[in-house]
Amino acid sequence: MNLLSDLAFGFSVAFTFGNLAYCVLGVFVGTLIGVLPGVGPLVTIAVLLPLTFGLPPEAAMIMLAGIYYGAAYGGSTTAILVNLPGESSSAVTCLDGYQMARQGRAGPALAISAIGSFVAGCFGTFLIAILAVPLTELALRFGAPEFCSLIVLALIATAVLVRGSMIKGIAVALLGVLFGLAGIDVTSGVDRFTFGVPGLIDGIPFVVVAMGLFAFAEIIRNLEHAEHREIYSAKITGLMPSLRDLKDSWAPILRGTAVGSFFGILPGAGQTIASFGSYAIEKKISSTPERFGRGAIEGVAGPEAANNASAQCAFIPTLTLGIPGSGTMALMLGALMIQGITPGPRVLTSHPELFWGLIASMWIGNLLLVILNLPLIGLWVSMLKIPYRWLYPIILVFSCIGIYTVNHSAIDVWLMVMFGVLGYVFMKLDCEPAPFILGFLLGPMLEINFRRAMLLSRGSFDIFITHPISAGFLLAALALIVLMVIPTIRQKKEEAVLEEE
Amino acid sequence: MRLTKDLLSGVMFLAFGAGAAVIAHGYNFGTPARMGSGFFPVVIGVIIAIMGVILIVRSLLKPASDEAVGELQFRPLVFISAAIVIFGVLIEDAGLVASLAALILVARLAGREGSPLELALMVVVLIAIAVGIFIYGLNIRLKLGP
Repeated sequence: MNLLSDLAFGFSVAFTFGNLAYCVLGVFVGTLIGVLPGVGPLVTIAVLLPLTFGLPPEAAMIMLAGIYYGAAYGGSTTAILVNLPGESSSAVTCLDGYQMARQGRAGPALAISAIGSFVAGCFGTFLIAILAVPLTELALRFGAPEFCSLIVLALIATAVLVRGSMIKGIAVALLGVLFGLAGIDVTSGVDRFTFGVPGLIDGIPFVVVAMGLFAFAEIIRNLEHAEHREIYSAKITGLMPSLRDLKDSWAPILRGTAVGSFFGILPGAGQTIASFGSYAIEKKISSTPERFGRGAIEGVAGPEAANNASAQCAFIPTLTLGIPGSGTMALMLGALMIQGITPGPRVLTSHPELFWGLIASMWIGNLLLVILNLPLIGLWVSMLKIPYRWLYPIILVFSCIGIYTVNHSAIDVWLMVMFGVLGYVFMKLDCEPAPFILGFLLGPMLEINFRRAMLLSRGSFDIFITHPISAGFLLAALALIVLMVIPTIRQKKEEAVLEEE
Repeated sequence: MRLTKDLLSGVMFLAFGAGAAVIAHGYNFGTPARMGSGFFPVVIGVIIAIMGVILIVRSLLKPASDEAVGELQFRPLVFISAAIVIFGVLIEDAGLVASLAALILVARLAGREGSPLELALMVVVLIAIAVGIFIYGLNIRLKLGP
C-alpha cells in the first residue's frame, strides 16, 4: 500500500538529524513561549516566523509546526495551573483543570492532558496521511470557479464562526482581501493602493500584517490590564494519574479525538468549538454531570484531545487545498509562501519531502511533547512567574528585528505600527482580527480565480452555480450564514467561542 | 450621540470601503468578462461600505443592543508605537545597539513598574541576546553601531 511507503518516506525525512533537531527546538520553544502568560500561539508564530526564513522549507515548516502545537500545549498548562487560557481553545480546560489543580491534582490533570493530546495527535496524523492523496486528487480537478467558491466558503466560515457579530466578521475578512490586493496587479501590471510608497510595490509583507495585528495589539491589550495571577505551583506532587483516572479518561479522549478531527477539517470551525463541543458531550453523557466544573478529569481529557485533534486536522485543508481554516493556519501558509512554495494541491507532488516530512514530524512532535513536558513541568511553572514587564520588551525586540530583516526596510517597521494600531482599533470595536489575515492571504488568489472564472464564462455569474462542486461550496457558505441568523444557534456559538479575558 | 462599538465599526468599514472604491475607480474597470485592475477592488470596497452602512443603521435603530467603547488608555498605545517608530528611524544609520536601546527604553514608558536597575539590566541582556541570535546565530547582516 502506498500510504505506508509515503509515511516511511516522511519519517526518513523527519528523522534526519537537522529536521529532528528543528522539531525538538520548535516544540521546546513553542511550549516555553506558550506557557508565558499573555503570549498565545498566534503571537508566538508571528514573532518567530522571521527566524525560519534562512532554513530549508521542510525544516522551517517542521519547526513552525512544532512551535504551533508546543504553544497550544503550553496554553493548556497555564489553563490548568493559573486558570489563564493561553488561547481561547484552552478556556474549557480552565473549568475543570484549574479545579483539579486547586485540589492538589495538577499533576494528573497535566498528565491526562498530555496523554489525551498525544492520542489525538496520533489519530490526527494518521487521518492527514489517509486523506491527503484523495483530497489533493480531487482538488487537482478544481478549476477557477471551484477555487473561487472554496475561498469564499473558507472566508465566510471563519468570519461567521469567530466571536462577535457576523457582519463585522465578514467585513473584517473583506478588508483583509482589500489590503492583500495592494501592490502590482499580476494580470495588468498596474500598481494598486501603493500611494507612491516604494516598499508597497511587491505588496504588504505578510509578516508585517501578522505581527502588527497580533503581537503589537496583544502587547497593548496586556499593558492595559493590570497583572494578577495566582499560581498553584507548590502543590504539584504526584504527576502520574491513577488507574481510576485512566479508566475515567480513555473514552472521553477517544470521543474528543473524533469531535476534534471533525471540526478541525472544516474551515473556520477550529479548536475552540471542538473543545467546547467535547466538553458539552462529556457533561451530557456523564452519569454525574454535577462533578463538571468541580475538577472532573473527563472535563480535561475530552476537550484537550479535541483541541489537539482539531489542531492537527486543521493542516488537512491547509496542505491539500492551500486554503487555511484559521488565523494560525494562515500564518503557516504564509510561511510556506515566504519559502517560495505556492500552496495548493500541487505541493504534495512537487514537494513530497516537505509534505510527508511535515506529517511524520507532527507525530514525532506529539511524542516529544509527552516526553519533554512532563519532566519539565517545574521549568514551565517557573516560567509562569516571569512578570509581563520583562516579556513585552523581548517580544518587541524580536518582532522589530524580525520585521526589519525581511527586506532590510524601515518602511516595513512603520507599516507594522500601522497594522498594530488597526489591530488595536479592531480590539476596541470587538472585531476579531483572525479573518483579516485569512482574507489578506487569500485575497490575491480569490481575485485571480474570480477573473479566470468570469473570463471562462464570458462574463456570466452563472458559472459559479452551474459547476456542481462550486455550487456546493457556495451553498455551504450560504447555509452557514442562514444558520447563524437563527437566534438559538447564534447563542450557542457565542457560548462556544467565548474568550475568557 | 453615544459612541458605540457597532456604530464606530460601521463608520470604519464605510470609510475603508468607500475610500478603496473611490481610489480603485481610477484604475481600469473593464467588463465582467474582461476585468480591469479596478473591477475586483471596487466590488470588494462597495461590499465593505454596504456592511458599514448596515452596522450604522442597525446601531441607530436599536441603540440598546450596542455597547459603548470601553475605557481607552492611550499610554501603552502611544509609547509602544513611538518605540517601534523610533527603532525604524535609528536602525539604518545608528545601528542595532542604539536602536534596540531606544526601543526598550521608550517601550518601558508604556508600563509603570520596575526599577531603573532592572531596566538597565534588561537593555544590556536583550541587546546581547539579539546580537547573539541574529548576527552570530542566523548570520544576518546588521550594523552594530553607526
